[in-house]
Amino acid sequence: MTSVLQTIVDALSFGSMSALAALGIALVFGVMRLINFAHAELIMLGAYGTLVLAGAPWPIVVICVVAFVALIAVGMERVAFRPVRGASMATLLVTSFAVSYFLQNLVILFEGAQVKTLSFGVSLLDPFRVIDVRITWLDLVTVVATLAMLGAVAAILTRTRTGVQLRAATENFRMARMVGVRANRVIAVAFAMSGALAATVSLLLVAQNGTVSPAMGLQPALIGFVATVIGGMGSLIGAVTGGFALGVITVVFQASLPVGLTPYTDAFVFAIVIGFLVLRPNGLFGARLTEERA
Amino acid sequence: MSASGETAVRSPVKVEREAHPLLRASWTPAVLVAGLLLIALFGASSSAVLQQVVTTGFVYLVVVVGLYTFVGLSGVVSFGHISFMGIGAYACALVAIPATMKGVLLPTLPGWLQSIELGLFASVAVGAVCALVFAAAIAWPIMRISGLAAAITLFAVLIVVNTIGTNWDPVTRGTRTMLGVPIETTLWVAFGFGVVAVLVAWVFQSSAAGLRLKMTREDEFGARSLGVSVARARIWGFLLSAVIIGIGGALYAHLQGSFTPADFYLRTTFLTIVMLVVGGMHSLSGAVIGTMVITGLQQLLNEVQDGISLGVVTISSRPGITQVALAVVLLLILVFRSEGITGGREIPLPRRWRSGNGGQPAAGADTPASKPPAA
Repeated sequence: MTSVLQTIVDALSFGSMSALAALGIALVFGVMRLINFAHAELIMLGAYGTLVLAGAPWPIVVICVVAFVALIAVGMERVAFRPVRGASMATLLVTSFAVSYFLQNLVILFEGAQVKTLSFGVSLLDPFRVIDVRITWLDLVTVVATLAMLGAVAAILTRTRTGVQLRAATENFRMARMVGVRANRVIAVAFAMSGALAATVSLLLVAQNGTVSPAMGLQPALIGFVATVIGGMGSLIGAVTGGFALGVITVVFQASLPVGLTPYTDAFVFAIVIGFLVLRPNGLFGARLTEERA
Repeated sequence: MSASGETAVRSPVKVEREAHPLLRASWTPAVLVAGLLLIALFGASSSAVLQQVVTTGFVYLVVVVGLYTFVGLSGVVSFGHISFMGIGAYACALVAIPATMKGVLLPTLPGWLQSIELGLFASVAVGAVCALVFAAAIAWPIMRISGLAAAITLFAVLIVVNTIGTNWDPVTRGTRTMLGVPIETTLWVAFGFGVVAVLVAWVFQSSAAGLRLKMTREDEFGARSLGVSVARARIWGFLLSAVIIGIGGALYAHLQGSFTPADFYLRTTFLTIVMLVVGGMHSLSGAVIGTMVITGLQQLLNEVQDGISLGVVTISSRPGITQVALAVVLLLILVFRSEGITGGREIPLPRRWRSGNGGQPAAGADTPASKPPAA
């Protein structure tokens, strides 16, 4: 019973983080029909930002890292993605892959490929016990931060003028432009929000693992990519649900697989994803937008 | 020849010579093979180092042509195809490494696999078949979903295959190097396979199945409305590309002799994508030219990475320079010439062999550049 509860706690924590990664990817996908592979590098750069600022008071670190990553995300859109906006799906995908590869190797060039350790939010790893279940403060912070970020994104999307424009652009980009939505602005806002979400993921990851490495963004981002597929491409709620579900499934597999098979957790999770796609090729929440080209 | 070739209304002056249909049909592959032959001859007459570079280039050519038969023709980007290369290489190694060595390297292999010892062609065939079987197992679910979703799912496949490769110690030696594959991919072996790959890809893209696949790329809904099953068209291209890339992987095993799962992961995925896109991913000529150009460029960059001195400034060896430079090249191509060096066209017939007007464009999407002399 205890181990089941323990798994639930772990699943909630990891599922939340995956949902954040998925939402960041889905926001950009929504407006640009672009799967941003470089989201992995946004997460990674956030972690390196934390490394640089290590030692500063935590509110300063949080604010600076979020601003830094959001800025990188907006800059990335301006330099690399704007010139290819409206190009074929293949061009967009390859471009984002190239940006991702560029940033990762740039970090390797300057910081080296090795794993570095840092201490950020170490005190959050202190556990407390509730009926024999070991909960760290970080688990709590992860869930609360996720709910706060989801709430903030929801509020922006429903309560602000820009947010409404962003949703309109997600529904039908061309139509939105015709009625006066400024494309550049809406896309920049989507990238900035995506960057802030990526920064949140990197702060949580750094607090959890205490390490940074150039390839660290891949795993959470991959879960985010796949989550957008299972959620139904173009659906924000689908992506969040998909991300959370994938995180939960991963933790459940990790806890229940025989010891010899735990390294293959990802393989099992993605085998399930592929099996799921046989049953529902359009994902959980349909995909009426996937074929559209700007 | 097409009946409309001599529309006397618009062009009273007849073009003197028209290319024979056979020449038209075989022009592009003939030029490509001739070009490859020149490169091979250049390699054969160079230093051992350059010869190795050219041989490696031909092995990548097999892989990139394989990638082209799916990505180029279907328009669906795949970041997962290098998993077929890895499967081809490991399957080939398991049957090609001498039995005595296998006993030491992989003591827990089952007996029949332990004793088997195949030559170059048989072991390459095993690599190809294993890649095909794996591709066939995942083809149906992945080819049914939209192109974007397929691209992501294939990326997940790459990561899963890599995870399995790095953990399945009894068969792959995990992250430790697999070694002892007889080095049998010589320059001319690699050249031969490269030529065969180019010819197979050409025949496929000219066949009904290949044209259907191109059609789904150009206009998915149009293709559907003409009764083409998008999923089925993609599956054929997918399986063919898996076979070709599996062969490429097996050749790689026989080229290097030793390798690890990291050889078949993101770096190689990126390199082959760069080769395909820089050349122009929508034409076979693009795949071939891109591979050759990037092979040359990479060799130059590697020399820079090893450290050169420019007068007073010495650029010391820095890991990552090659990768960053390749990424920049790819981004520049994407932004300024997204159809690649070839512009997505095949090598056109020489102008004087093209018909005056109304005839078929030389090959693929080439627009007839020659205007009738009389206005």
